[in-house]
Amino acid sequence: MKTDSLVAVALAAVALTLCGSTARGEGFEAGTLLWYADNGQNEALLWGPLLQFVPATNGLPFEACASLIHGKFNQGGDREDVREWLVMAGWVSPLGVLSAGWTYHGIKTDLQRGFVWSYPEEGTERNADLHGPYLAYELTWPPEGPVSATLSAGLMPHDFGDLDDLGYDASFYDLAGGLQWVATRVRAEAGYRYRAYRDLPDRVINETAYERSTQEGLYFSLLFRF
Amino acid sequence: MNAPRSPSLPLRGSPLVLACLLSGLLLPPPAPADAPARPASRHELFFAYNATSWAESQSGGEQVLEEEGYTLGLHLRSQWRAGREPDVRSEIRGFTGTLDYDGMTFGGAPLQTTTDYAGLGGSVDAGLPLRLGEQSDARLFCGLSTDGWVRSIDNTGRISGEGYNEWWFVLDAIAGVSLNLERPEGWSWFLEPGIAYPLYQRVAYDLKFPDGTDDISVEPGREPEFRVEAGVRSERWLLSLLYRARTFAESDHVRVGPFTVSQPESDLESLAFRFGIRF
Repeated sequence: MKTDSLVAVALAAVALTLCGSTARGEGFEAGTLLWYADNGQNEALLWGPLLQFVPATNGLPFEACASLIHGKFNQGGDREDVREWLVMAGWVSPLGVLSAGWTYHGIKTDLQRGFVWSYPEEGTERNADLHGPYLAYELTWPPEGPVSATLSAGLMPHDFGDLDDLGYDASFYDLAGGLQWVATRVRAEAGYRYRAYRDLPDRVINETAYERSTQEGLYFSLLFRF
Repeated sequence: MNAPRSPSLPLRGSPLVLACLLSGLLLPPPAPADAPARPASRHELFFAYNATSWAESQSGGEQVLEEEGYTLGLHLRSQWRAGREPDVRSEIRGFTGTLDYDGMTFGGAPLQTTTDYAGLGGSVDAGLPLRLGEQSDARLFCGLSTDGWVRSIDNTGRISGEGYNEWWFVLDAIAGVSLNLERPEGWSWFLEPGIAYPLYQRVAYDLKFPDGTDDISVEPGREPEFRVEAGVRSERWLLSLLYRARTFAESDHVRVGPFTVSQPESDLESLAFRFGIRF
C-alpha cells in the first residue's frame, strides 16, 4: 500500500475528528459526495468527503462547507488523476445561500508505458493544476420540509494556477440541479451537474485532439448529522 | 491438465465452522447473569474509505501485477438483542472504486490502465457478551459472511473499449472478539480482531476464446483473512480504522484449447477509515 494512501486516510480521520469535536451538536454534517463525471471521452467516479456546518435555527445566518473529491479518467491507458478541493463560507437568506471560497484542482497525468508526449509542452499542460476564488449561489425550494428541489450555480472567475502561465484560461462555471431529502440524522441529495471551462488545452492521443472543455454527470451526496 | 477436483461443499473442512459448532456459539448457551444490558437493537450506518492494494504473483513468487487506489463503501450494521441472551449482528454493504493497474497483457507486454471495482456483501453472526470489568466487556462471535464483486480491467471506454470482467464470489466462516472499554464521557473504545476462513470461492472470467468458450471459472485456493478494527463509538456516532489482509492462493488450472486459465496467487490488503452514525 502506498505511504501517501495511509497518510491521506490518517489526515482525513484527524480532520473529521477535529470537526466533530469542535462542532459537535447542532448543525455539523459529514458524509460523502459522488459525481459520475463524463469529460467528453471517458467517465470517472469522483468521490470524497463532504463536510458542512449548518447553523442552528436561531443561530447566525452563516454556513460553511468543505469537500474533496478525487477520481481517475482513463484515456486509453493514460491515467488522469483528479483531486478537487473546495472550501466555502456562505450567507444564508430566505432567497438562498450566497457563498464564497477557494477551489483547487490537482491534475496528474501518467502516460501509458512506452508512449511520449505529442509535443514538448504537453506534459506540462496535462499536469497543470488550477485554482482560484469560487463564488456560488444555491436555492432550495421549498426551504422547509423533508423533500425539496435545489438549484445551484458556481463560478471560478480566474485561474491562479499553472495553466494561466501557459497562456490558457482555466476559469469555469458549474450548474447543478437536484432533489434533496432531509431526515433527522441524514441528508441525501441527487441531481445533475454540468461544468464548462473557458479554454483548456486538448488531450492529444495518437495525433487526435480531444476537447477538455466540459465535465457533466449525475451526482449524489449522503450526509450524516452528528 | 490437472486432475479433476472434487466438488467443494460449503461446510467441508472448515476449522472455523467446526470450532463454532464445538463451542456452541451457533447454538448459543445462556449468557452469564451479569452480562451487560443493552438496547434491543442498534444500527450503524457508515462510510468506509478504503486504501486498497491488490497484487498477483506467479508460482515462483514473481509479481505480475499490482493495483493501488481507493474504494468507497457504505455499510449498514445492526445488532439485535433480547434481554440478556446472546445477540445477533448483521451487516449489508456495498463498495465501488477505481484502482491504478500496473501489470501486463496476456501476451506479457507491460500494461498500465485502471481497474474498476463494484461489489455487494453481507454477514450475520451470533455473539456471546461477557462482562470483563466495571467499564469493559467483550463479545465473542462467529458466523457467516459473503461477498461478490466485479473487477473490470482496462475500462478505457471510447478510446479502446477493450478489457474484460472478473466476477468474484466468496463465502466465509467468520469469528472474532470485540473488546469494549466504556468511558465516563459517554463514548467507548473498541477493538475487534477477527478471522475469516473461506468455505467457498470462485472467480468467473468474461473471456471469449477462439473456440467459442466464454464461461470459464476457477476456484482460488483457500487461505484465511485476518482483520482488526479499532475505533471509538458513542450513542450517536462511530469512527474506526479497519485493516484487512487476505491471500487467494493459486487456483486450479482450466485448459481451453491451447490456452490455460488460472487465477495466480492474489493478495488483497486494505486499510479503511470508517465514519457514520448510530441509531
